[in-house]
Amino acid sequence: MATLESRIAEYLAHRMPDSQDVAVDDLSRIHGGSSQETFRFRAQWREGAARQEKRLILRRAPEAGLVVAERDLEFTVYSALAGRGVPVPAAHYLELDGQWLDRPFFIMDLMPGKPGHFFGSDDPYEGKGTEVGRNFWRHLGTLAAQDHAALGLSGLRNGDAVSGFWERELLHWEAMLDAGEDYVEPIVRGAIRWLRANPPPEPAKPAIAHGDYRCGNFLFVADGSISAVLDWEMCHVSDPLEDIAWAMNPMWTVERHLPLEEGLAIWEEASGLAVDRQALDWWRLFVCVKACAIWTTAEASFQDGTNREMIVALTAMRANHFHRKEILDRMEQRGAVG
Amino acid sequence: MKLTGATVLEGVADALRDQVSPQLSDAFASEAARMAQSLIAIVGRAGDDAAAIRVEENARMRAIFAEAASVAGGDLSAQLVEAAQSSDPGLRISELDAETGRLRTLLVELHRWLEQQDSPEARVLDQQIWRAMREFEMARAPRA
Repeated sequence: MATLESRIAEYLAHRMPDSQDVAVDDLSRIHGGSSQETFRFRAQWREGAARQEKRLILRRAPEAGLVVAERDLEFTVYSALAGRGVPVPAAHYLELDGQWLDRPFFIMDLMPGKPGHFFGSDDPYEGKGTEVGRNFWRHLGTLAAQDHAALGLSGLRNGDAVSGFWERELLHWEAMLDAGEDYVEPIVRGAIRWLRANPPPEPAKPAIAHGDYRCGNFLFVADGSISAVLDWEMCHVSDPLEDIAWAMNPMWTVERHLPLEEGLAIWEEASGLAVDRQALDWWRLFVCVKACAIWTTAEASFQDGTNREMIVALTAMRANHFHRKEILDRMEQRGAVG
Repeated sequence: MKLTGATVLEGVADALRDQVSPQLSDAFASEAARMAQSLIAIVGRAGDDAAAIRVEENARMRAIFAEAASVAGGDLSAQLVEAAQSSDPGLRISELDAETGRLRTLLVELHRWLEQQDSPEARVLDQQIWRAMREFEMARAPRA
């Protein structure tokens, strides 16, 4: 039976018809996004007399995941954002035909650096938290400044919308809860009703929302620079405050390393937009609902056996409780508890 | 001394952490073993009071329904009376969870209805439900 290495090598040879002696080795699976299987490997080949070598990443669609990701979404976003000021890896090949590796996949550059982990470390950035925090907010602001339509990203969720992002996103995640909940969580449903009854103003502009912009989904290097923003599986178009609110989520916030106001000022400078603090408060409750929907989907996929990764079960158990408690705290601040 | 399920799971978790994970050279497998240890620890600590937590939660919801039945009207009031007088079908976790699901669905309906009312009684019940939900959530918090 062919190994995964040999199957990848066969595919690369197919995509690089001028190459000879394509070989793949040093293949290992890594935790990189909970929705897609991620492998790192080394590819070597010859082009004429020249020997070539590249370290690459393979992202393969799972049988089921945390979120229903469109198969070409990440590849499309990586390609569109190349050279736009947000560090992303070069994406090389997208393959939707299952004949090569059973499921759709794409191949991109392996970037230098390491991800932080929000579980288990007070200093996930190895002494460079301030620098990482500044770059974190600058890149998010740069992303918000992009014109998604001009980049050819109108195909993203909400890509053609000009207003009503809050309602579209709330409906989207409510539907995910409806599909994944074994029994209803009254806390989350109470928050959804409050959000619907107290809508935020329209955004200054629609923006590309990464969808999961946080510790663990970017790589940092020794000087605190961010070498790559990764895991764009939930990318869509929304109010730019959505990503800010997600980034401020206390489960993984960079506020421990950089004061929030300094971070928001950096974001405002990079985006050219002002942060509406009152609207941001709406989005901070919204992202708790979104988090519950994501990890309810994860819980369901583990329960029905379509995803048996430890990280899915563990994060679902911890994160669902964490965010329901966060909802309770936020509703209490709004006077719901009396 | 009788060996309990919780102690067995604690031992398995310790073995994964101390004996298995350090021997794994593959980083992905080692990390999976470490997370499996955490999962087993959480599940092991949730066993002893699992039924008690569900029984208490269901009883608390029934008490709220009994109180709310006089405030609500029509079909909702009849549903609240029926649920307030119901009892758990058994003590298996699956039976209790199914009953919790049924009662929670009604709790959401009641909560939605109360939010649309202006009366002081409705406001009191609304806040009472939020406080009960906090107690339910904290009782079910993962313990690791």
